[in-house]
Amino acid sequence: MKNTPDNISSELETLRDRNLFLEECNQRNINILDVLASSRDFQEDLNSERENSSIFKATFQQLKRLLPFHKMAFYLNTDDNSFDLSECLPTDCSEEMEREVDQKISDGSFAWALSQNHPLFVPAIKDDQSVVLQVIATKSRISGMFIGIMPGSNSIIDAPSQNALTIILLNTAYALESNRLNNTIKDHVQNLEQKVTERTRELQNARKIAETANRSKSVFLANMSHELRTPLNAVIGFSDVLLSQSFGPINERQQEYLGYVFQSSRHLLDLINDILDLSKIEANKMELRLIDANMESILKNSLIMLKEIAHNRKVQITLNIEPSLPAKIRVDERMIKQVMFNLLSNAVKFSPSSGNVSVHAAGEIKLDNLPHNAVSLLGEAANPESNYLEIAITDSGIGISPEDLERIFKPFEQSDNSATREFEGTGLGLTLCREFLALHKGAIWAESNGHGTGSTFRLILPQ
Amino acid sequence: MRTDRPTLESIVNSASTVYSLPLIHERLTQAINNPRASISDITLIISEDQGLCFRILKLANSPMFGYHKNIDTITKAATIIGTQQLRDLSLAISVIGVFKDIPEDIITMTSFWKHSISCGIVARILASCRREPNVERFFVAGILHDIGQLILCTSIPIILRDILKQSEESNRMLYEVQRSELGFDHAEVGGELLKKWKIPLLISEPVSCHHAPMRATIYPQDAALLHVSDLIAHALQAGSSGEHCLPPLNKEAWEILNISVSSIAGIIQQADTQIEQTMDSIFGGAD
Repeated sequence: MKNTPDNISSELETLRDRNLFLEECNQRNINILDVLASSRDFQEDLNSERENSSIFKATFQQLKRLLPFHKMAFYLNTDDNSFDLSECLPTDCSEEMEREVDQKISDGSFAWALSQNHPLFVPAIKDDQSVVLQVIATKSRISGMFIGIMPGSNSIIDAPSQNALTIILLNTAYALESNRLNNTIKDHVQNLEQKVTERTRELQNARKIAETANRSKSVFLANMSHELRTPLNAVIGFSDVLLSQSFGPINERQQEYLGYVFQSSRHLLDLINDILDLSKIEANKMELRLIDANMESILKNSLIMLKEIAHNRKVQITLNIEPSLPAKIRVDERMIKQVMFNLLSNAVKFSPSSGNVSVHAAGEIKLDNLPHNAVSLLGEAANPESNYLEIAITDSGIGISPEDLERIFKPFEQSDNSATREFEGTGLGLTLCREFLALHKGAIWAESNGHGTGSTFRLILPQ
Repeated sequence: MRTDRPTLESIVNSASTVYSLPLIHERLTQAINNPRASISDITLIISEDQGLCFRILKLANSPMFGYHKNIDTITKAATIIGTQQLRDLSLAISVIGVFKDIPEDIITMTSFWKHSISCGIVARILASCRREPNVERFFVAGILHDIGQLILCTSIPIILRDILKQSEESNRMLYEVQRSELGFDHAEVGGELLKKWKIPLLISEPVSCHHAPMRATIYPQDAALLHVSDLIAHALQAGSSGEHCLPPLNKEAWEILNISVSSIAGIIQQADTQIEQTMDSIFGGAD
């Protein structure tokens, strides 16, 4: 081909056309980039909004900048998998939208658009319009459908705009999804809060009732014990006087029966005293009267009181006091005496005839050198700085099975219920021991290798 | 040790003078990106090639799309399938024509394209599971993924035959023997040719990295998807591209795709029903 003027002018024409076309493409692409760049604001809108309708409105704004839609609508996927009109622009186009959607559903293009992830262009009912359908879906869930109506029949938009439309609607899908999840979480949180409040109120009420009941019980017991003790004192006192025969002689049988009256009433008094102590502790009315006491003499005095019973049962008691045992200890002497007496009398009582009871006392012991259960019994009272004294009372009696080691410290429990009859006692002794020691920030526990091997009761007190 | 070892560049350079991108692809790309072009412009371009037109409509009505109504015009296909999708489908079909005169003494063409189409179908299904906007892009990538093998067939047939023999005798992966003997594999050859053809990186990078998906720096997810699709296509044993063993799965690629193992059975079943009819749409004659 020669460079004839005709050829040159036609080539110029082509180049001019080409230039115009490229400029137009360039303009178009810049516009699309602008719209997508402004989607930053759009996304922030989406993040702060919690209403679907504001998400839709923000999307409409965005899409209007991109394409010449004159009518737009969002259909949301409802729980029963139907699609309902949620928002349209302008607001009075809902009837036209419903007609379009009904037609697209019946000709199958709506369903097809749901399965595609790109915009679908289909003819509108009116000849001079086209409809764009694009699903709004995340990877996991279809939340709805976008429908836009554009002027011009059979119109199709360029690929960059189509892709921008897909991107914007993907953002919308994620905004809707996060909205939905947010609402679900909110519902759950609200539900949970309500349940927690209800349950807390119930528990508070239950605790109040239980506390009131317990306090009434303790007050009742304290009063009753006092009321019971007064007449009992008369029974004990007068039977003692009669037994001493100061008011004339009594025959042997009378003496024997009167002896039973005296013994039983003494026992009853012990029981009542224990109950009184326990109820005082439970009602928080027990006060410590601390004095500087001598542990060694407490132990020796308790042994003297048990001497006769031990002698009768032919039980040998040995006392072993280490030099480390402190001479003085600040305690409520009455309580500690009662603890020692209870433990020693139990040991004698549960030892067989010709058995042995040994008492071992030592001081200057640190928590680290005590078994683990001692520390857990001490609980908050445990003090790693403090020195502890320890008293261990070992008997050669029937022993305690492992499952009973803790149970025996509960009120009215003995290690073997069938043995209850054989070994008399109030059933409150060990419970009281534990309570008394707890008041002193000390602890008591039992050790035994099981039935027939004897047992050791070990108590610790901070020095 | 070979002294006249061919380079990747020399092979791709000479291949690009023999095989060129079908002109229609360039024209369609321009039309769909043109803000002024209408649907009839696109229809017109495709209608110029009657063979392509016929195959596109056959494909559009095949189970691969499963559209409930007959798609009887390109206009309809453009609205229902999408314009970019139509462009990619026409690329997939017309590229097969570019390589129609490859001598069949090393690789059987029908078998080669069957494997490629299977890979494209699997890639397309995986992509739609991931709700990718344009799944046909993955179909094309699948069809193109092994074209490097065809180029090696024509540019260095003797060396390739030797490599195939070595790979079979030593039970090593073909692409591994290629890498050690040539310094590159068929995937890279294919990817380079596509780059020469100015096919976007979105397709050329995954093709070039389909045996080393984690080497993809720009589109690693697409490369991973193509890698897994190739493996599934091999497992389906529909056709062959010369590889005689099942390529190993790259664990990282599998993990970034985030597909559940339980969904694979369904994907394979779906692919299985589409392969024969897709082959027929692309190669078959008029009914």
